[in-house]
Amino acid sequence: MVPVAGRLPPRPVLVALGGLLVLGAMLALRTGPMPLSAGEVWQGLFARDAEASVQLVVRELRLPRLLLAMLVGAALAVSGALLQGLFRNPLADPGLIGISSGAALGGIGVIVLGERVFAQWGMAVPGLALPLTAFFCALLTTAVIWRIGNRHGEAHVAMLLLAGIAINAIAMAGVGVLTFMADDGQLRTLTFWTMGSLAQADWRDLRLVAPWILLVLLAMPMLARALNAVLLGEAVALHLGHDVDRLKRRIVVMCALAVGAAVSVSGLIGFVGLVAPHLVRLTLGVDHRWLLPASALLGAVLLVLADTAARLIVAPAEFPIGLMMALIGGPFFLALLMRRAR
Amino acid sequence: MTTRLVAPLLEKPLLEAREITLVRNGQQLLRNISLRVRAGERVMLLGPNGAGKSTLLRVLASEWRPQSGEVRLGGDSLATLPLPALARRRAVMPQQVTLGFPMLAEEVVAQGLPGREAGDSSHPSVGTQMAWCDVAHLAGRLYNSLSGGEQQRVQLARVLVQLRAMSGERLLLLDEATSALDPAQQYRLMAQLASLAQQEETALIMACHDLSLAAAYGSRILLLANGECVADGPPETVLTEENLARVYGLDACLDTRGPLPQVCVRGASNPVVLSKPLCAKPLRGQCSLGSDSA
Repeated sequence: MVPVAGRLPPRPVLVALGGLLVLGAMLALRTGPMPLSAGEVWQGLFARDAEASVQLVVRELRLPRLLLAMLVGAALAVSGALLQGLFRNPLADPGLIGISSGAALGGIGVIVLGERVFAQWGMAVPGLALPLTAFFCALLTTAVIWRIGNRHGEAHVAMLLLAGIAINAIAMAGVGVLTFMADDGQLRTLTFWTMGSLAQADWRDLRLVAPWILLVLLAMPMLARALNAVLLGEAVALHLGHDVDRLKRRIVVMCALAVGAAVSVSGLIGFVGLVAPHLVRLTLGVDHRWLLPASALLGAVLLVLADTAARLIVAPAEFPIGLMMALIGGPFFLALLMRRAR
Repeated sequence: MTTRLVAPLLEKPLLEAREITLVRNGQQLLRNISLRVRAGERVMLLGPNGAGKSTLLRVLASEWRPQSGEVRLGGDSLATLPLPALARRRAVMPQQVTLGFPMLAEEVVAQGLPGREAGDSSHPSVGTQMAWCDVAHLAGRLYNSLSGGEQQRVQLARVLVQLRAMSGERLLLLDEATSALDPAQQYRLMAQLASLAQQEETALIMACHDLSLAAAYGSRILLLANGECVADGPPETVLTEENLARVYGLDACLDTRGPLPQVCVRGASNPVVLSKPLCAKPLRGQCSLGSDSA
């Protein structure tokens, strides 16, 4: 199915991906309505006596947005890789199977109904309400999907994707109802959520989600060996001494954390979790010890580049990055399906 | 020093199963099965399709927990033995392994390595066991592109990598490990496995459909029907014309005149045991708590 000759040694590929991420980051920091040279970016980042406007653009606008793009890209790609390893199928993407839209429904619910709900207790909406709701909705959807897609220890991928269709439909209906109830200001925020965007990224967002995503990224290498064993089937993984039930619970929670955090700051950005791990498998093979970190890096690169392109192609307006990823990822998904059908 | 410590252990069975009963989805799959196996024994599980051979192996592998009864491995109950510790005492080869993603044969085999070495295809044991199973030349091929027999031998190599990393008495559970191999490979591998069991403190339990193969290399045969043990003992006491007719509906007899014993089949009819409720008393060579074979 996959040409083995195309496999590359893992360490150089990881280094190359790291280099690509640095280049992408440089590009993202330099481009925009106010183009900057590499030296100006450097000054804006580190010099105390840098020009105020450069400092503002680099430190307060572009840097948080860049870091957020990296984290969100890595979170989505790693969630995809973890779910695909667990379900032993390359089509398990957090967007396709409904985790993202579940989280988004929770987030939009807080945007539209939050003020009314919290007003009853005479409080303003706390900053943590939105990410926490997004996380719990992600956890709930993942658990529901797990129950539907997994019977007697075997993953049923058709059921999984059908469940994804159903959950996406329910979430979209919910979003429709909330759209109907929303006022003008809320509508703008809502649109940003459903199309996915990093335009409102700031340090506050970053502080909110970075710990959770970094936690998942740091914990993920611990699951690599067990996931490799699961590639041979859950029974074999058990024979080899891995606690598969514990692995499942951990992956469900980690995906909910990563996707919930990503969605709560960037809205719905699909297909990263599908595209990044698949490309990595083509070049490195299926060993999760390399697949997971490489997917994280590639996801970060993809999202940084896509976000930079989103800022450029219709400047001074911005193209929603979620739409951008759907335009790239949709055809990619179709190609993947056609390959498997053959 | 070591012999003193090991000697009393050798007298105890490595594996002890007591009155195992298993019900799944409302169906009784195993009924009151008791079994004691010592290291060095080669136990062949025989019985018609659906008799409970694979189910029994799953219980012995700690994959499924029985509703009643207990399985002990080296004196420890399977219910309390942690999975990593269990993986250092017993290896299992299931009937079928399908891969989620394309993997190389050597990557599959390297999964058998313990702990942090798992997945390291350059480990010497990977090459050694692949050569033992005659698949060293397939190391760089994709597992899914191999024939059924080749896949089976690659899986056996993986199981042996796990088994040979162990120390002390160990248990090897095989579910139709040679079903897809050609006859020469079957006999060659079974001879190797039998001598491995005798020389390396290994108890071998294998589910099998080939009666002659079981008679030739099993030191003991456990005959199952309808989830019950019908007979247990050395091949010549279990593979009698009467037992073969009752359990399989097979008109056959065990021929021990040649260098290897073999089962000669003259024809087949309906099995007696399957159509009737099981007999209350086991037949000759009954499933006793003590094994009666050396």
